[in-house]
Amino acid sequence: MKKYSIIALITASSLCLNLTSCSDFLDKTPDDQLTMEMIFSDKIRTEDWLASVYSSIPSPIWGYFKDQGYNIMGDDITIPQEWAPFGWANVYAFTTANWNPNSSWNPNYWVELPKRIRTGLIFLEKVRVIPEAGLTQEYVDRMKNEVRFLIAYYYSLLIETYGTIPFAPGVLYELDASAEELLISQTPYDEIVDWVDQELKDVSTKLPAMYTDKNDWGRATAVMALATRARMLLFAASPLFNGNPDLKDWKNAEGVNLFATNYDATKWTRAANAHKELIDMAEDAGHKLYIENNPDGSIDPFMSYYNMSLKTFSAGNREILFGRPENPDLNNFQRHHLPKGIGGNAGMGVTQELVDAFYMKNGIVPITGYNADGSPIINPESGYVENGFSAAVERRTTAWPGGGSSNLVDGNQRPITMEGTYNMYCNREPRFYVSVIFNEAWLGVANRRVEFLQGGGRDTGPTFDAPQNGYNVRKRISLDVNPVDGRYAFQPGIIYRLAEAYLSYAEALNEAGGPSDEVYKYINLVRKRAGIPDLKPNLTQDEMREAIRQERRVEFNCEGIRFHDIRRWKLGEKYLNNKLYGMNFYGTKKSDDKNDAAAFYKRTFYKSRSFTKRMYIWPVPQAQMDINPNLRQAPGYDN
Amino acid sequence: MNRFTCKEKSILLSKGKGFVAVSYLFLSLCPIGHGQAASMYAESYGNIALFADTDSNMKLNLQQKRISGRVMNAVGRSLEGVSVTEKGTSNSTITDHRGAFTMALTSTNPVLQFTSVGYASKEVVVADQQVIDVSLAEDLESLDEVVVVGFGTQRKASVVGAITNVDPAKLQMTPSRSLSNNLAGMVSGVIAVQRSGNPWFNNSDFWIRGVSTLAGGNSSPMVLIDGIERSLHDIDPEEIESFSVLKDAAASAVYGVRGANGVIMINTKRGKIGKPQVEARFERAYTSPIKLLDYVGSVKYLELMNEMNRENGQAPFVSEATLLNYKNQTDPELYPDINWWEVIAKENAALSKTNLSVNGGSDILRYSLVLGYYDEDGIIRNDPNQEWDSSLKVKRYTARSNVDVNVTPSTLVRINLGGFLQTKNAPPGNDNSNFGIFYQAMRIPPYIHPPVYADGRIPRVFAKENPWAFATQRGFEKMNHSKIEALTAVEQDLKFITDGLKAKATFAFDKFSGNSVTRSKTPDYYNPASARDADGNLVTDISFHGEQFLGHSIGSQWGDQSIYVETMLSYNRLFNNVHDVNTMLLYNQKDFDRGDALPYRNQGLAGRFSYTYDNRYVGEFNFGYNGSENFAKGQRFGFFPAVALGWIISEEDFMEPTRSVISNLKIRGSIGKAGNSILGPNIWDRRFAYISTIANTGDYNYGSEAPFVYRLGRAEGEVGVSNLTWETVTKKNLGFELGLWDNSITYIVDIFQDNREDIFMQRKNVPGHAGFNRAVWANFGKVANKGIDMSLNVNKRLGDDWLVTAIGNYTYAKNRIVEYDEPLSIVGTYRAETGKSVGQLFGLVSEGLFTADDFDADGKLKEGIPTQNFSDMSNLRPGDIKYKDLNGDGAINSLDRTAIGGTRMPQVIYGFGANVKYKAVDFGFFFQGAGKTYQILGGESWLPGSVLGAGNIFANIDDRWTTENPSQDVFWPRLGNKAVANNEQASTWWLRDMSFLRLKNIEVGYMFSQDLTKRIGIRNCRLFLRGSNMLTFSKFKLWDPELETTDGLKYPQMKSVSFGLSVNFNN
Repeated sequence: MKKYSIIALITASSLCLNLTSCSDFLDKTPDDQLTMEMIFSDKIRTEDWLASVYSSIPSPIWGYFKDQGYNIMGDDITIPQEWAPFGWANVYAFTTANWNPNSSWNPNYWVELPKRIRTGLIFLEKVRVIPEAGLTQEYVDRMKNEVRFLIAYYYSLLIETYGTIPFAPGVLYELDASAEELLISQTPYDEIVDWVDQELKDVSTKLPAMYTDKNDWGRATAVMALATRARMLLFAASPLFNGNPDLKDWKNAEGVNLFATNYDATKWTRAANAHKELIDMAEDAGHKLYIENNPDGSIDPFMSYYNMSLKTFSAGNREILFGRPENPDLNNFQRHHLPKGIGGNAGMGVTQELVDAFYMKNGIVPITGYNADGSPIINPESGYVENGFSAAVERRTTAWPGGGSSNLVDGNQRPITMEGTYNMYCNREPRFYVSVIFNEAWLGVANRRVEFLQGGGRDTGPTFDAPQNGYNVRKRISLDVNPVDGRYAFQPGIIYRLAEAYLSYAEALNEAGGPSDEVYKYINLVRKRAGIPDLKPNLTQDEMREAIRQERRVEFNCEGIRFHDIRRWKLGEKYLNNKLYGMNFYGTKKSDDKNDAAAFYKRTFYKSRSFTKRMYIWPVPQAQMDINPNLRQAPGYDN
Repeated sequence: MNRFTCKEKSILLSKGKGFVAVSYLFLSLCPIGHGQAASMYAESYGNIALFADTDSNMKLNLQQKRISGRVMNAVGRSLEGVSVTEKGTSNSTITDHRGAFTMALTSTNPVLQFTSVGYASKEVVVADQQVIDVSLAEDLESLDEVVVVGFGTQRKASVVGAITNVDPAKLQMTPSRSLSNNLAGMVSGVIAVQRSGNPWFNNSDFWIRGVSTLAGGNSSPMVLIDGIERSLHDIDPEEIESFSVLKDAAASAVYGVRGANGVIMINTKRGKIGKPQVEARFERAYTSPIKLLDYVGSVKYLELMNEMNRENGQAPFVSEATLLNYKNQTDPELYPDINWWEVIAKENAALSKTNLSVNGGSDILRYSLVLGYYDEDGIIRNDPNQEWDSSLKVKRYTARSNVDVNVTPSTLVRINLGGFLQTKNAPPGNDNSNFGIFYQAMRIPPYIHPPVYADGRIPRVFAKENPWAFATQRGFEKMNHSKIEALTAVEQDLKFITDGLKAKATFAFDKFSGNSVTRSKTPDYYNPASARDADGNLVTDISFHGEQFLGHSIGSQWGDQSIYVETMLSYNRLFNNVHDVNTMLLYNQKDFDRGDALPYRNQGLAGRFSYTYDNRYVGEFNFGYNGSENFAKGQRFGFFPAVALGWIISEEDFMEPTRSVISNLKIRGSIGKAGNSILGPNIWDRRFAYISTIANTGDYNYGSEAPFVYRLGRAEGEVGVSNLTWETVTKKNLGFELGLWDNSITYIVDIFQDNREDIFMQRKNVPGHAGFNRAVWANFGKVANKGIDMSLNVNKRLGDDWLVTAIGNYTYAKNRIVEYDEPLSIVGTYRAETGKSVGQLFGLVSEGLFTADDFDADGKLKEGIPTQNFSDMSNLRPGDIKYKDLNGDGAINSLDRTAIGGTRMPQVIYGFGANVKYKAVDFGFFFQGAGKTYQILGGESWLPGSVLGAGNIFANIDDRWTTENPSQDVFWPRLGNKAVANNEQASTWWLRDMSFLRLKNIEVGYMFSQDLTKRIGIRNCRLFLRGSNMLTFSKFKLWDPELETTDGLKYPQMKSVSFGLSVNFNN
C-alpha cells in the first residue's frame, strides 16, 4: 500500500507540475524577427530597404528578352515558338496576338510596382537621421530623393505600359482601409504625367548629376531623373498618347476622359525642352557618346559601337545615362544569342527586316519597302546588290576583330567580310556587322565561319535551337564569349544612353518645328560615331521624320527601344502584323537560286506575326478588374 | 529476458539429457522476484510434460495441484490461444494448437477463467477435477470488446462517436511501402488517392471525409501512432495492432485545435500473455507499369510534321528522300526510331518484404518485437557498364519493440521503441516534379538521335535532355531518412483510493533525421550527327564538355525532434451493473523542433464523461481546451465541446424476440466542434499570425562592376493580424449500426455534415495598387462538407470447413464553399468559386469544333460568331475548338470560364471484396474504385505540333480532325504547326472523367497441414500468391487515371504479382 501511495503521489504531482509550470508554455515571441525600428536604426539595413525599392528597375539585358520581352515583342528579334515552354510563353503570346486581360506578363507591373512604391513610401516615413550610425542628414536626404526618383520612375513605367492607372501618390494604405479608399478608378494620363514631370524635375535639382565613386554607379542621379522625364514626355507627345482617336472613349468610373481627345502640338515642345535640359546636364556632368579612335585619329565606328554596349562606366563609358549595375542571367543572355556550334542556344535571330534596315556603308537606305510577294524594293542609289557572292575579302580601317580571320589583317585594315559572302551582307554600314550573325560570317572563338546550312552545318540543326530564319544576334555580345568553354563576359545593363537623348531630342524638335540645324546636329552626331556620312540636307519635315525613325531603328536595334518606338508612332499594324522572312532554314546548298528548294540564300517566309490595335496598351489584369469594379478596361480588351 | 524465453530454451534442451539442471540454470537467470520461481518452474515443467509425455515419469514432488484440459468451441473444434487464468492470482497459461492446457494451481479454492477474443469468457470451479474440458460459446455480440478512441479505449457498445476500426491485416492487401496506399476503399470515411508509382514518392494523399477547408489550407488528418503525431507512411503495417479513424466531433473534439480534419489512430502491437509466438513473413513481388504512354514512331512522326507544314503553306519538314531513309532504316544512327520510354524504363522491377515478429509474455512482463525489411526497385534503367549504380531503389529497415512491465500489481510501465532507416538511390534529381525522367522522355521526338552512338558519343539537343543519358549517365544521388520513436508510459491503478480510478503519465520523444549525397557529373554531349564523312564516321561536334569523374556534394542535413508529455486521470466504473461511467481528464503538451528559431508548441486539456445506462442508453460529453502559439494572447485558447447520444435498441427487452436475428441495432448521433490552428498546408508556412514580419525581397547591387555593393532587399512582409484565431468546424454525425445473425453481418452507415468557418485565408480583395507585399491574412472563409460513409461486413462460418468473409465500403463527401473572399465582380456569376467545391475545375465550354461553315471565303470567322481571343485570329481554322460565349459579349476570353466537371480529388471512394476459406485453401479479391474525379488534359507540349519537333506524339493521333475527315467525334482537334493557343485552353473538350475501378488485390493462399510442418519446427505455414492492381477499368485509356498528371508525364502506376510465405514457428 505504501508503495502504491508513493507512485500515486509521483503521478499526481507530475500532473500538477505540468499543469502549473506550463501556463506560459505558449508565451514566446520570436526573437529573430526584425522590426522596422531595428531596420531604420542601422545604416546597412536602411540601405537594404532602399535596395528593395530599387529592385524593380528592369534588367535591359535578359529582362528585355524574357521578362518585359520588349526585344521579342518588337520586330528586331524573333524566337522559335518552341521556346515557349521554357519560360518564353508569355512573351511569345504577344507576338501571336494572344494577348488579353488574363495573359501573364512576368513583370506584372500593375501589381509589382506598387509594392516597390509602397516600400518606398514606408522608407520616406520611417527613415531616420542617426549621424553616429552613418545616417547623416545629408545622406538621408539623398536617399529620400533617390526613393522619390524611384517612385516617379515606377509611375512612368506604369503609364508607359498601361496608359493610365489608379493614382494616389504618397498614399500609404492602412490594413483597414475602406473600400472607398482602395477601390479607386484610373486617373487621366496627363495628370499623372504632370505629377511625374514635376517630381522628377524637383529631384533633379537635389540629386547629384553623376557619382564619382564607382560604387555609387547605378544609384539615382539627376541625369537619370531628367532622362526618365524626357522619355515620358516624348511618349506623351507621340501619336499613341497625344490625341489618339482610338482612346477617345476611354473614360474612368467618374466619366472623365482618360486621354485628351485633341492633339496638342505643344507637347512636342515640352518634350524637346525636357531633352535639351537632359542633354545639357548630362554633357556638363561629363557624359558623352562612347568613341574609340583609329591610330590615324579617325573614329573607329566598329569599336565605338561595339564597346558602347559592353564597356562599363569605370572603363570610361560615359554614354550610359541610366544603367542597371548587375543583371541577372547574363550568361543565359549571351548564350541564347550565339550559334549552336559554339554552345549557343541559337534560336534567337534578328529578323530579315532588321537586316534590310541597316544602311549601306555610304549611309543610304538599301531597301525602302516590300512587294506583295515579300521581295524587296531596292533603293537604286544605295548600291545594294542582293544576289551573288563577294569575290574577295573586304577590309576596313578598324581594330574590330569580328569580321574575319586575323590572318587577313593588313596593317590597320581588318577584314569585315570574308570572300564568298552573300552580297546582301556586303558593303553595309559598321553597325550591321556589330549587330548581326549571318551565314558565313566570321566566328572568331571557333576560328571558322558560321555554318547554317542543313546537312552538315555545325551551327544549325533540325530542331528549334537553330537559327529559324538564318540569323543570330551579335549586338551587345562580346566576341570573346564562348559558351562551350563556359566563357562569358561581364557587361553593364543600359536603360538609357546619350544617343537616345540626341535622337529623341531631334525627333521632338522636328515634330515641333521641322528640320532645323539643331535636328541635323544631333542626328549627325550619332551617324558620325556610326561611321556613316551626314544626313543629306534640306529634308522636309516628313522626310526628316522618316530619317529619324530609320536612324533610331538602326542605332537602337536589339536594345528594347524599338518596340516602344513602334508603339509611340502607332505603327504596330505595319511592323508587328506581317509575315516574317529570313533565309531558307531548310537549305542545304550555298546557292541563291530562288528556284532551288535546297538553296539557303533566298528570302523565305518564316512565320507570321500578329498585332491588333488594342495591343498598343497593356490590358488591366483581369484579376484586378475583378477586384476593383471602378477600373475601366483598356479599349479593345473588354469585348 | 523473461520466463517464457527461459522456458523456451529449457524445452529445446529437454530433448537432451540433464534438462532439469539446465532448467534450473535458466530459472536462476530470470530476473523475476516475488518468490514466484517455484510456481514458474512447476508451470514450465507442466508444459514440458505435455510435450514430452515420455518424460512424465520425471514428475517432481510438488505441493501444488496440477490441472489439465482442453478447450473447444461449440462444435468441438480445438481452440488455440485461449487464456486460462486461476482467478484471483496472476497464474495463467494459454492453450496450445490442440486446445490443451496444463497448469499448476496455487490457491485453495481455485476457479479457472477461460478468455479468448471473440468468445464469451467462462469460469469453472475446479474442486476435485484434474481434467477440465470446456467449450466456449462464440461471443458475437462482443459487447465487452474494447475499441480505441481518442486518448484511450472504450467498450465498443458504449462508443457513440463515428469511428472506423479496420483489421490491420486488411491494410496489407498490396505489398506497398506506405500504408496509405491501402486505405482507399478499405477504410470507410477515408478518401485516398495514390498519385505516383515512383517507389519514393508513391505515398497516397488522404483525407478523412474529404476536405472542408479552402484550397491552400491545412486539410491533412492528424495521424497518431501510439498517441503521438507521426507519419503514416513510415510504419510497417506488420507493426500495427489496431487502426482506427475518428471521424466525427465526438471522436475528435478532444484534440481541439488539431482535430478539425479528423484523426487516424494507430496502435502498435503489444505483447500478449503466452508463449512466444514467432512469426516470419516474406513476400516478393514483380512489378510492372499498369500502362505506359504509347507514342508514334519516327516515320509517322515525320509524316505528320510534313502534313502540318503543308497545311500551313510551308516547305515539307523533311524531304521524301529523308523520309525514305527513316522508312528503310538505312542508317539507324542517322535516322533513328526511338521509343524513349522503352529506353529509360525496364519492363519489370521487383520488391520484397520481410518481417519477423516475436510476441509473448507473462502477466509481469509482455513484449512484442517486429522487425521488417522492405526493398523496392524502380523501373528506371541503369547502365551496367558504369561502375556506379544509378538505379532507382528504395530500402527500408524497421524495428519496433514494445514492452509492458507490471512493476507492481497495480503499476504498469510501457516502453515502446521504434524506428526506421530508409534509403533511396536514384539518378540525380529524381524528383517527382514535372522535370523528371519521364518528362524528359516525352520531350524528345523519336527521330532526332539514338540514345548513344556506337562510338560512345552521347548526342543531345540543346535545351533538352537525352533521356537515356539523363537517367543513366549522370551519376546518382542517395538519400537517407531515419527516425527513432520512443515512448514511456506509467499507468497507476488508484483503486486504493477508489475502484476504477487510474492515472497515467506518458513521455515520448521522436527524432527524425535526413541527409543526402549527390555523386553526379554531366557527360560530354555532342550535337546530333548530321551526316557521315567519307570514312563513314558520324559528323558531330561536341556541344558540351562534361566531367570525367563523379563529383561529390553532400546535401543538406536536416531533421526534427519532438517531445511530448501527457498526464491523465481516468475513472471507469460500473455501478450496480447498470450505471457504467467512463471519465477521463488529460493534459498534454508538445514541443516540435525542426531547427527554426523557436520550436513549435501546443498544449491542451482534454476530457471525457461518458455514461451508459444498462447497455442501452449512452450519453457522452467530450471536450478539448487547447491553444496554439500562432495567435495573440487572448486569442490563443479555445474550448471545443462535443456531445453524443446513443441508443442500443437491440438491448431493449422488447427486442428480445428478434435477438436471434438482430444481434445489434444502435442509433447514435453527435454534434461538436473541433479546430485548426495551422495557417497553411505546412506548419512553417506562416507562424505567429499576430506578428508583422520583414520580408527579404528584392536585392540590388550598386557599382559599375564587380565587386558590387550588394544590399539584401528588405521590405514589409506579413502584416500581423492581432485578432486572427483558429478555424472551427462544427461536425454533425448521425450513425446507424446493424448486426444480424450474431453479427455475422454488420452494417454501419454514417451521414455527416461539417461546417467550417473562420477559415484562414489571405485576402483576395485588396487591389494591386495598394502595394502590400503579402496578402493579408483573415479568418474569413466558410466551407460546408457533407456526405455519407458506410461499411458492410460479412463474416460467416459455414460448417466446419468454410469461412466466408466479405466487405464493402463506400465513402462520399462533397464540399461547398459557402463564403470566400472573392472579388466583388465575380460573386454571383458563373465564374464564382463560391458555391462550388474546393478545387473545382474551371474552363471554357466547348461547342465542338469549328466547321468550314463558320468561316467566310477569306478564312475569317463569319459575322455573329464570337471572336476567339486566345489565338492569333489569322491562325484560327476549321477543326479548332469552338467555345461558348457565356457572357454574350461577342468574344471568347477568360471571362467565359466557368465551373466544368468537378474536382480532381474524388468525391466517391469505394471498395468491395470477399474472401473464401475452405480448409487449407483461401481465396480473396478486392476491388477499389473512385468516382466523381476529373482532370483537364493539357500541358506545355500536349498538342502535337504545338512544339514543333519538340515532343512526342500520342499513338492515337489518327483520331483527329482533318480536312479529309472533318469529324466532330475525335480526340484531337486540328493540328497546327504552330501554337494554336485556342486549342490549348482548359475546356470541356479536354475534360475527362477519371473514375476508375480496379482489382486492387487478388490472392490465393494455402495453409500447409500441421502434420507436415511440425516436424520441421513450424506450427503453421501459409503460402500465397497475389496480384495487385491487376485490372483497371476506366473510360480514360491513355494512362492510369489515378496518376496526378494532365499529360501523362509521370512515373507510371505499378501493378505487381507476388508470392509469399508466412510461417509461425513451433515452440
